[in-house]
Amino acid sequence: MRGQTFLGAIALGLLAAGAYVGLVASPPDAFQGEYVRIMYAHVPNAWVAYVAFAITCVASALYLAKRTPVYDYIAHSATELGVVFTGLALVTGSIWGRPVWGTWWTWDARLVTTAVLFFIYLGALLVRGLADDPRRGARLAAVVSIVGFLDVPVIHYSVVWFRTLHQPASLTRGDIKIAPPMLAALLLGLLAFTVLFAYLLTLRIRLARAEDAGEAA
Amino acid sequence: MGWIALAYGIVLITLTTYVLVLRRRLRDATRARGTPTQHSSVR
Amino acid sequence: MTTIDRVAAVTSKELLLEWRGRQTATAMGMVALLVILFLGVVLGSEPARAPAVLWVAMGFATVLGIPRLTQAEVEQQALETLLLYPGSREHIYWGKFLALVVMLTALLAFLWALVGVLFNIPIWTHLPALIGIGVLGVIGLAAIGTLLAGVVLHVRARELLMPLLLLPLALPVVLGCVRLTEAALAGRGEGMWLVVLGVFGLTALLVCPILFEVVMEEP
Repeated sequence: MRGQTFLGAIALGLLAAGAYVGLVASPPDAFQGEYVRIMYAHVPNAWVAYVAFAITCVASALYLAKRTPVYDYIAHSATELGVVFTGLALVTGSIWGRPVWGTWWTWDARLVTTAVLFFIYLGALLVRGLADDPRRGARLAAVVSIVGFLDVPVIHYSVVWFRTLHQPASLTRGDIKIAPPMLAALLLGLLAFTVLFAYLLTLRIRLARAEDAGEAA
Repeated sequence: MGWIALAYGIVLITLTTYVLVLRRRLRDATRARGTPTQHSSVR
Repeated sequence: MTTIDRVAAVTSKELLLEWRGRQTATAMGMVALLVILFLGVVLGSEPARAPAVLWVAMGFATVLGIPRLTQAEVEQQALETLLLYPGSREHIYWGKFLALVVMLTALLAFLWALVGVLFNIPIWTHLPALIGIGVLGVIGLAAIGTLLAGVVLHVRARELLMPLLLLPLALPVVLGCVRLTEAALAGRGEGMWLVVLGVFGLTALLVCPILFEVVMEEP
């Protein structure tokens, strides 16, 4: 409880520092100008979203193997956080793309995979909510999450190959050469969001546990 | 400038709302769990 | 009773049930037909568009057909009886999978005849390649679809949930079949996509029966 508040405080401090470095202290980019600052809000969101889905997959598999409620609390919490952060990653990515690429959306493999991932895990959340029994909902959500996670690499490569036949080089963010001060800002953002994610995950797991106990009582 | 403010603003507002909702639901859930015990002690 | 007998029993039960009503087949056929007509009108019926139109129609028809695959178990409480029969739940998966394969194959054959006419495509000259692609695509759709049919068994709003669950998961199958069909019609080979569809089908057929047992457990 106290440890959790402490974690929250650290997350808040790191986020404030990250926002300061990202918005004020770091230099503008040679090509993108000031807009590079959106990257410090976008990339950490995407990173945390992928971490959330990896945790969901592992926790789901553990739940199906051991049937201990704890793993389901973790899987449920990580799925919900994953959906939130994937949504934020997609929105900030679009906002970044508008001034830099001149378009809100391109059919780049990473964008499409992320959007598809968003829908798969939204489906897992809905299945859980609409199932007639909470334990069955937990099991079904675990099944959907595992199938979804196994499917991600196949989806990614199929989208890559599907598009490359028509447009040889699409814009990928990996091409951007990154200068040390920018890298520092980005790493600080990644660290801040990881700690924030850890805080939110513990909070959400506590909520899942409390709600489960409330329903049982 | 506007795009940057928009991106950071959306992230800030979404996450703040999410944290607030979580904390509120957590408070409600712990209170709901407390209720039966209060009843049973009254009985 | 051998495994094959059990699987065959479930398959024939599903197909008999469908043959009596023919509702699912009609609904799937109609939706696919309308998708093809709509896209044909909207996009224009150049032969180059045919593969994409065909497989998008297949995807949506599958979305419609899958919840029907467990409809009898929902409506007539037949699940308890089905689970009481000897044999593991994996047999139910394979039985329903084969029934879905038969239905999707029939649908695909019907749609090819239609697309061949509407989009002016010489189907007969490319028949072996098209059959091969069809087998891979139908297996991929049916493997993941049978699992999802079990998932939505005890879920409210099952028809509404189906597109959200199936379409993202089956995206590689649709993309792969579109590109393979394009290549086949142009007389080219596309080894890469064969690998994608093969890997997808194999993984799905290895993982889905195991997860199906988890899905069919009582709460």
